[in-house]
Amino acid sequence: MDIRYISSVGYDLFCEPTTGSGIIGGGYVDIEPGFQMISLPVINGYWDTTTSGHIHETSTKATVYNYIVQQVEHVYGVPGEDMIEVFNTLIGGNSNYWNFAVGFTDPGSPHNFQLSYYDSEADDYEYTGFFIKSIHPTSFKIQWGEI
Amino acid sequence: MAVNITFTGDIYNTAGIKFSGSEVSYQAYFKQENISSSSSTWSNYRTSILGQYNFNLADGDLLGTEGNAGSGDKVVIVFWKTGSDRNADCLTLTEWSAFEVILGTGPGMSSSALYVNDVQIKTNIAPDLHWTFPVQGAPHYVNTSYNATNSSEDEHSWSWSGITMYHWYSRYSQTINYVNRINNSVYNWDDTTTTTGIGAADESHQWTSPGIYDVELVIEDECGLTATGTEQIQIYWHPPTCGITMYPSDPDPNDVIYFKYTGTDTDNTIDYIKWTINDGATTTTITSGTKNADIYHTEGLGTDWCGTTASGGAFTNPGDHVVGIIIYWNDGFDDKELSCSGTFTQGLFTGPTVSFSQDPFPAPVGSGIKFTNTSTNTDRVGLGLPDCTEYIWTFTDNGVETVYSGVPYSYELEITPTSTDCQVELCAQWSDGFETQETCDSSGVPFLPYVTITEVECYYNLNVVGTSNDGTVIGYSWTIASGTSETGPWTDIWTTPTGIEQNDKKVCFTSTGWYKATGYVYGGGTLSDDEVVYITEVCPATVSGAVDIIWNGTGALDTGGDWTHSGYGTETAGSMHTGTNGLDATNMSKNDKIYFNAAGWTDISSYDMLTFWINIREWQSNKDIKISLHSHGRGNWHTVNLSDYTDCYGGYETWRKVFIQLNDFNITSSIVNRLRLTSTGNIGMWLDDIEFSMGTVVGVSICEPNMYGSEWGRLDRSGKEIRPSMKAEVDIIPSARVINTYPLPRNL
Repeated sequence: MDIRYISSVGYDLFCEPTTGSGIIGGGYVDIEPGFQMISLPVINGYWDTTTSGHIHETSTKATVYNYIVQQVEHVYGVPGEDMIEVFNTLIGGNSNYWNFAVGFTDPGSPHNFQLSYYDSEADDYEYTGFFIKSIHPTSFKIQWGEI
Repeated sequence: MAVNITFTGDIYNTAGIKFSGSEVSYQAYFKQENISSSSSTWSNYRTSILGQYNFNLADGDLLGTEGNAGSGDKVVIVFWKTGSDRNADCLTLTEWSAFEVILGTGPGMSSSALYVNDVQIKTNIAPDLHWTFPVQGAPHYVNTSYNATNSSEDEHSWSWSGITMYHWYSRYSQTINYVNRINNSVYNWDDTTTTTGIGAADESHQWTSPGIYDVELVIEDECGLTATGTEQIQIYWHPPTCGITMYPSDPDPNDVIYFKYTGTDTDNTIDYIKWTINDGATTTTITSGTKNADIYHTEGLGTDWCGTTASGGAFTNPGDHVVGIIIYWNDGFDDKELSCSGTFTQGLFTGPTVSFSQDPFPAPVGSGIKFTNTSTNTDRVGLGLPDCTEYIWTFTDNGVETVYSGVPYSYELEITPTSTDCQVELCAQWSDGFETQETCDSSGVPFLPYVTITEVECYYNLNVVGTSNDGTVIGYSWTIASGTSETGPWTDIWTTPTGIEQNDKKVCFTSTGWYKATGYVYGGGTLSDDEVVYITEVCPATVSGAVDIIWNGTGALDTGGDWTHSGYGTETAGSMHTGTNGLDATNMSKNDKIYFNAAGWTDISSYDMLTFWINIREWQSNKDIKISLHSHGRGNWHTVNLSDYTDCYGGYETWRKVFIQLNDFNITSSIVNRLRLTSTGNIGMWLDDIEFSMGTVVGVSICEPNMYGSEWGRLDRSGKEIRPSMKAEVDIIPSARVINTYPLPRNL
């Protein structure tokens, strides 16, 4: 799975590999109720509650938990599992899913999968396309990159 | 349902502490329940991560992303520690469990895409013992198999965090954890023997001696944990059963008899038997320590008969006798008694079948007769006490009895009877073994009937003697036939009723000729004899008092006879039948009437019929002569048609006699005063000799009305049957029947 471009209503997304600190561009993704397939072209980073924004630095790989769930919990002020039930994806030729059940799966588990992975054959990063299942009755936004 | 379904949760150990790493392995089994769902399959084994299990139904080792699943499909998740094989033995596995999720139902259903359940694995649990053993109900006996039914199991369940966890051995025909089963069952039968069965085994056992046994069952599971149960069973010796047999089974009188115990004593527990034999007169009581001993009726007196003395040890009386026994035995714990009885029959000798034969049979009257003893089964004859008599013949001749007693079988009774009223009886005396009996056979002596005809003045005596075929007589009858020669051919013209008084008859004949009189004797089979005679004497045409002349045209004109002619017709000599004149009534037209009037009243109570001679000259088809006889009272008369009494269409211009029963006129009085003949058409005739007359109109008539009045009667309207005359001074046999009335008598 190699999703580099995501369309979202009302936004023109511009992205490049976020291989280092500093990122050019960013955007929002509307999370609709139910399953939705998205991809965030981010390699490193995490949500920083102090700055109320993402910190993109190479020491921290961006995962669904530290980049999305913590953002949602901070921005919307509710437990993540109240808005997002689960993330699912297939990564790197593994035929089994990674399943991050928000509120249940230990963030230390590999099921808290990264938003991008290094493809050694291509010698490049591949962004992770994954399913996010919103259990919130209305759409809400999540942001990525630096806006 | 989307196949993207995540199953996850924390895993806890026996102590309820959550695992923290990859210590626990797990596998999921998808159980297809919907036909459109993917086939049932196992996932690869996984290991926990940070003490959690986590997999997706769309995983490549389960249904894959192209798989299908729906509500009702099931997912069984099996956990174990340690190793990669859930069916490893207890040396490898330390804790294990499994649980089940039903898609669309739960447990732990966050949504259709996520099922979250925390689970617990546990160490081995001791097996559950479930077994039954027949310790209740009927007594239990040695050498009899009794079955233990073992339904023990090593599968368990418990609740954890809102779900039910299992130690399953199998689920949906899949082995979940091999360790969850019974390894063996060991039965200790408490008689130094044990039986070991594989798994939760049923076993059976027999004990060879009585006792109270504590049966122990120990079941052991795959991990060596055991469960033990005990049941107590009491085992007895088998009780003996009743059975008495008499020898011989069907004894003749005076046979010495004995009895044996023939019941079953399976375990040989009988100590002794007390016998009581009662034959109604004597009782034998014996106690035998040997159950198979022959028990004789030593007090029996037996019986005797001629030439045989009583035998001790035989039944004193015949009939049914009760033999009782009390069996004393031990059931292994206590002394017991069993009472039994049987009914045995002392039969009797059978007697002879007594019979004899007669020669000749039937016997001609007056001849000698020989009676021969033909009895059968005579071996007991002559054995009766006190005098050993064999046979007794008794012959009765006309009431006189002669006895021939004490004769042997070969004796033949030869008799020349003096009457035909004879009876013979043969009796045999014999012994049934206990009593003297007499059996007899008797019968009348059959004699051939013999007919005699004796002429007496103008009439004849008919007499028949003899019997029916069995020597009895219940009645006689006669038939008279006339013929044209001594050898016939014969035409029956008269028959008598049947009665015991009919054996002796007096009859007269109205014309000479050949006659055959046949006498019949009735009883047990009919015999007959006949006699042919040529009759030369006939009764006079007029018997005194038998005829009253109404009119005969003889004498003064219109005054011949007692009544006066008037109306139609003319007295002429040309129309005469007998005497001087007859009545010429030719050329009659409709409603022309001929009258004959009495001077006063004429009493007809002594007469049976109106007779007249007629010579029909002319007859009109479908017309008739109405004949009326008038009596007391207005309308007290009745009319008959001449054509009912003679053939009016044939025999023209010849004289014939017409007979009309007075009863046909249906008058209610015995006195009359007018005879009227009315023509209904164009008819011509001559009339003469009009009379009231008595007697029958057959070829044989009675000479005197009161001589043997039983035949006295009148022809009915058809002329074929004699009816009672209704006359007060005569007896009546209403069944008398005329066989043939034609030709009509020539004279009467």
